[in-house]
This record gives sequence, structure tokens and C-alpha cells, in this order.
Amino acid sequence: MKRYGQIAFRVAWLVTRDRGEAEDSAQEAFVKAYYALPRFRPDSPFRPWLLKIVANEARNRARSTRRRQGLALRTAVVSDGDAAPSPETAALAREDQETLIAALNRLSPSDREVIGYRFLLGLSEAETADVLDVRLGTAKSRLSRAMGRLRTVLEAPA
Amino acid sequence: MSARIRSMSNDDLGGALATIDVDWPPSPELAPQVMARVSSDRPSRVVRLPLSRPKRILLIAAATVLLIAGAAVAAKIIIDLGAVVVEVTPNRPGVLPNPSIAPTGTPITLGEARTLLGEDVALPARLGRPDRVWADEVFTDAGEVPRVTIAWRPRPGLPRISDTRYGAVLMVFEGDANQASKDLFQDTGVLEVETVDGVDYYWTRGTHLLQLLTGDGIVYVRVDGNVLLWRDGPHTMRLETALSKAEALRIATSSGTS
Repeated sequence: MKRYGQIAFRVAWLVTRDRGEAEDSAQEAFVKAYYALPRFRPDSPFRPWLLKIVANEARNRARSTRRRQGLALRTAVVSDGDAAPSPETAALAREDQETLIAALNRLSPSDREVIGYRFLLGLSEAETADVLDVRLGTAKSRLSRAMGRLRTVLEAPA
Repeated sequence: MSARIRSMSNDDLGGALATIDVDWPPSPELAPQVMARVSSDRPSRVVRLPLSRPKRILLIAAATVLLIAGAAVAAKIIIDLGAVVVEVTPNRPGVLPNPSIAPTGTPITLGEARTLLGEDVALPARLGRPDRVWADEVFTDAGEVPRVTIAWRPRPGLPRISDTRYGAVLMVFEGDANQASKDLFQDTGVLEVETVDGVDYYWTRGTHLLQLLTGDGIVYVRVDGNVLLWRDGPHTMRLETALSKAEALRIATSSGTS
């Protein structure tokens, strides 16, 4: 749980965009995963199996609460006193990061979900497909379409 | 939008998204609530050891009969020894991992093992001095607990366990928090209980799936060896060999200083 708690919470938060709902979703998912362990296929990777349970639980909760407006994604605040950003972070100017986050916030929840899993959480394409509970090809095309819509949003006037 | 983003390919845009420093909300500590939920739900599902001995023996006998008869059972039969749970399942999974010994942790000395487990831990004297000793730290609902694995190489009278380098592997689990689950399959498994000097020894034979909590998470191991399980004070002992039940019992009951 120590190993997967953070990513489970973040998957749930990407779906619900509500801290309490995300925490409840992740907690419920761990309990369900515990009882579902005998059905887990031992030749399969554990992380996407767990995260799929988390995402399903979060989607169910988001549907039941009919939550439309959640907290928006934000870039982390870096004060002058903070340590220097990593080379990777420095590679993208802060203004560009904020532009991308603002564009993500204007996407539909399903587009934001697939982009969030793949790029913000760093899941592989196969893991993203598992968590979305779709085939790999479907996940790739969903990601491609979501990226296209992100590009459209980026090019549209704010 | 900056010209830089505009000129990016989809791959580059993905790469740029991956470098964003997102201000995630702080992740909550999930373990206490989850463990509390699991612990409170557990008694309805698991038959625990504090049953009277006649009831426990009856339960094992029922499981044995069902295994021998290959009878269909709607629900699993679960024997809970604390750290280790044995489940007799009606359905064998389509795919099992390759046989191997379970992950063992970091090599340590026998002396260090005794320090971890307590000087009074009773190891089987009949096997002599072990060839390898390892320790792992496992996070359970009772906190971090050590697990020690001790192995003896094959020799005359101690045949090699199939697909391993050892003739005997003893895992010593500490405490009552569940750390391992053995799935024994109804069509091929054998589960029996023997009582020696007031101690119940649970004997399993046949390929089974061992789900083991390790310091790196849960691992799944296919076990083809014969396994004897018993409790010794705060410890649950799991002895895997290629020996008969009688031989394994002789080893288990030879506890003393190795």
C-alpha cells in the first residue's frame, strides 16, 4: 500500500478532482483489491490491475455525485527560495507549463483522464489501456484523439 | 500559446506534458483505514485458529475429503494460521507462474536471524547447520515485521525440491498478521492435519500458488514441493521439502539449536 498509495490517490483524483472523493475511492479500491486477490492472474502485472479498480471506483463515485466542476489541475508553485528545477522541468518554460495545464482543464473529463494517466502519471500505453479497461489499440486511438483536441484547445483563443 | 508548443509534434507534446510539475493534492495515508476495514470484515470470511481443536480437525477433515473426492464446493475452505492462510479453491487458474522458491530478501547470518526472531525460536535440529539464511522486512497491518528464510542444500536423505537449488526451505513468519496465502487446488491438492505433542501440523501436497507479501509488494510463486505448516509460539513455520509427510514431521519435531 505504501508503494501504490500515492499513484492510486492521484488516479482517483484525476477522475473525481475532489480530494475527499479521491481518498474514499482509493481506500475502497484497496479493500476491493484485497478481496479480489484470489482472482488476480499471477502472470499479470499488479499495478495496472490495482489502478483499474481505483479508476472504476472513482468513476462510479463521480457519476453518483454528479460532480461536474472539480478542482482544476495546477502547476506546482516554485518560489525563489526553492531548489533549482530539474533539467526536465526546466526544459519547459513555466509559462508553457501553465498554458498546457489550462488547456487540459478545458478538455472533457475522458480526454483529461487518458492524457493524465499517460503523461502526468507516466503510465505506459499498456497500463493506460488496462486502467481505462479498453484494448491497447483503443487506448492509443483515444489518446491520439485527446491529443488532437488538446492541440485544438491550445490553438483556440482562451 | 508559445511558438515552441505550437511547433511540437504529438510525441513532443506528450513529452512536454510529462515534464509538467503538477501541484497534486497531498496523498493521504490510506493504510490505517484500509487495514481497519479489512480486519473488521475478515471474521465473516475466514475460519480462524481459536476454534476448539475438535472443530478445527473436523474442518481439515472436511477439506481433505473434498480434495480426495474432487467434490465441487461453492465456497473456498480457508484455514487461518495467522501469518499464513491456506485456501482450498475449487478452480485452478488457467496459468500458473513457473515453479521457484519464494523471494527471500537479504542474506544474513544465522546469528542475525536469531536476533531478529528471538533466541528462543525453535529451528529444526535434524537438518543441521543451514547453508543460506535471508531476512525480509514486511509491512503488515501490525506494522513492520521480519521474515526469515533458511535453506539447506540437497544431500543424501534430503532430495532436491523440484526446480530449486535446495533440499529444504524453512520460512519463519512472525506474528499473527497475514503475510502469505497458499491456494491449494481441489483437483490436485492434499491437505491433512497431524497432531504431535499437542501441536497441529498442517501438511499440503500438490502444486499450489503461494501469494507472499514481501518488502517489494505481493509476489506470486508456484510451489511444487511438499509443505508442512505449524505454529511455534509467535512464529508460523513453513517447511518446504520433497520429503514424505512422516520425514517432514520428524524434521519439524526435531526443533532445537541448529
